[in-house]
Amino acid sequence: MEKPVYILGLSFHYHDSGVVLLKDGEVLFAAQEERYTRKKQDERFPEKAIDQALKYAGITVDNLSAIGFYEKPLLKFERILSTIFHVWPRGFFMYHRAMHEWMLKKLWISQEIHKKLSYKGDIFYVQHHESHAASAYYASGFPDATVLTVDGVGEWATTTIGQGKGTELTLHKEVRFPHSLGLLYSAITYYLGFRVNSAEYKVMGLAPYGEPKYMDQMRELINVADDGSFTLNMKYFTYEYGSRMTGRAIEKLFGQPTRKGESALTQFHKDVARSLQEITEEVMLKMAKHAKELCPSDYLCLAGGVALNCVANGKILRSGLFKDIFIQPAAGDAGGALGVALAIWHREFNGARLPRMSNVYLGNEYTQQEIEQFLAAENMPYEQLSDDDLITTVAGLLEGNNVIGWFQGRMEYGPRSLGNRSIIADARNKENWQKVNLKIKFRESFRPFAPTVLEDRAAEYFALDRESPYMLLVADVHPEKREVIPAVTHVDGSARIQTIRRDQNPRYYDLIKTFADKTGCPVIINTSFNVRGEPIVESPTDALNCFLHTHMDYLVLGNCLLRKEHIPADRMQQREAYLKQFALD
Amino acid sequence: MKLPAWLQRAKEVWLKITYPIGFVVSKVILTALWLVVFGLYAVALGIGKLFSKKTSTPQWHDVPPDFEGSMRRQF
Repeated sequence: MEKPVYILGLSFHYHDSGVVLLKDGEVLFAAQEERYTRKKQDERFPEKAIDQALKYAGITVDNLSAIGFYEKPLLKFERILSTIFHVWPRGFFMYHRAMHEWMLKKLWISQEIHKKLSYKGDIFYVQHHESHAASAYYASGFPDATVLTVDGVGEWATTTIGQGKGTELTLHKEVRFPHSLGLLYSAITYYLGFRVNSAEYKVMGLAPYGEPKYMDQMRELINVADDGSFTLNMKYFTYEYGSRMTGRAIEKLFGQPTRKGESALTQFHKDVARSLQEITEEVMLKMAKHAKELCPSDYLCLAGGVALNCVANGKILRSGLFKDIFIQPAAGDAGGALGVALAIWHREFNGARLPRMSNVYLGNEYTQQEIEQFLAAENMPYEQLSDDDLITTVAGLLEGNNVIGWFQGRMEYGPRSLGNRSIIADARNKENWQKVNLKIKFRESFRPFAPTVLEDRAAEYFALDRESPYMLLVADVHPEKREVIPAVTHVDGSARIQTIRRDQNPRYYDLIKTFADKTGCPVIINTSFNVRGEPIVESPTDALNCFLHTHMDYLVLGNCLLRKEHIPADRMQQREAYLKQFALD
Repeated sequence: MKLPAWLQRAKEVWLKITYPIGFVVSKVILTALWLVVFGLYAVALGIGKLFSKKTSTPQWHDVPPDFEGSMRRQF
């Protein structure tokens, strides 16, 4: 019997360290380091995630056939140096910071991997956007596809167009730094007082509250050609040489100062967010159209951080340019780990294409025994229920305004919770929007919640004619249903949808099906199991901590149900201390 | 190699002070590099730009072609 080929893909040292382990081309394990270290967007070498991956596979480093890193460090360093030359004499402090980081850390990727893993084998490198492209195309199951990757910046490229055919994937065109749609979005995120590389999705969520009143200003910031290529007017951006994204010039352009974080949001901010979203959608649509002309196919694959802009994705889908689109669920940098691993499998090992990525439940899981031992050690009162009783009981508890922490199976890979590390509630109850935002997640009240809906009934509630298993598409809620599911209907009538089939997640599907049978409604709120600033929970410990220190009503760990009313009061005293651990994002 | 106690102590003290020394010296060297090497090159580039045609037209660039063994290279 042939020895299995294990390939480890890694991304680290920028943001969102991630690990993916392939066995004969199939994803065996995938996870982000932040889930284990509890430091949001942890960029350090992902030692813990690697340990978990090897443990899950029952192998050691010696069994690895190859390790891949998701970008080309020397090429990236070239861009850094080139930028320093270009902006000189500005950028003195940025230069010092960059030199320290690169000289001490980022130029020694190979040595770090060899040393920390005691690994003696080959290390492979692909370009950043190739990683993104590979993560989307090779996981899509499409026989061929137009591939579009859009993010802040990799080495030089900020946007690429490519073509996938069979096992071949080639990038043809790119837009280069400093012109970047992702950095434009991040710059306005900064201007609106939110955290860069972390809160861009909040700006997307804020946009429907505004009007596109600042399109002239947006067109001053970005010059877009008909073919979707663009340049930024760099006099308004300071990210080339400074630690901030924007400066006084943009404040003068919009006539308002940069918003201080956590200060009140005004209609101005909402209008700017909306204007940004409009221009982003315009650029994305034009790029998709041009990509199709250059690299014809019925199918589109999308990846890169901007592919998490699900409103823009929905517009591309509805444009009818493509029969189907696949968006890599881990579209950000953590997905680079998947991309490089898949690229190695196909290019170095001549591996065959595998079917479409069917789910992202790729992290580690805890057995029922481990959960019960944990709860016993914590002296937590709980009820242990059979599989059927669990579903019936929790479906009953979901009705009304109960908020339930739901911890099951393998942890999700990527930024979304999709039913294994989720906080769930009744979407029919409008109060749940505020309750979950303010009392559970302690986050901004404007932020909407996303629904999970049974796939075979999705069209009853949403203007969606296909699956959306990864919550990466936004579609309208049918007008007559908006009052039925107000807790997941955004202010403009849209929703960011997760559809679910039984083969994707049987227990989660059964729960929603039972709830639907009881209430007639196949839709529930699904939000990530964490508080603001915290990574999504990974372990029963994390889940219990989140449960104890928020106003969550119930916690379900495997087959164990915990009721807040039964928890001793002294176990819930440390809320402030718990929340202080997590820097606001 | 086991050092005599007095030498071991001296080594510990030395290691404690080398970090701040290194921090300061690296800043000095980097600043000197920035002024002399980067500065001269940047000025030369700037002069070159004066004679070249500026373009800020949006455009798609060709992705540089792949080469044999590229996956084993960090560039």
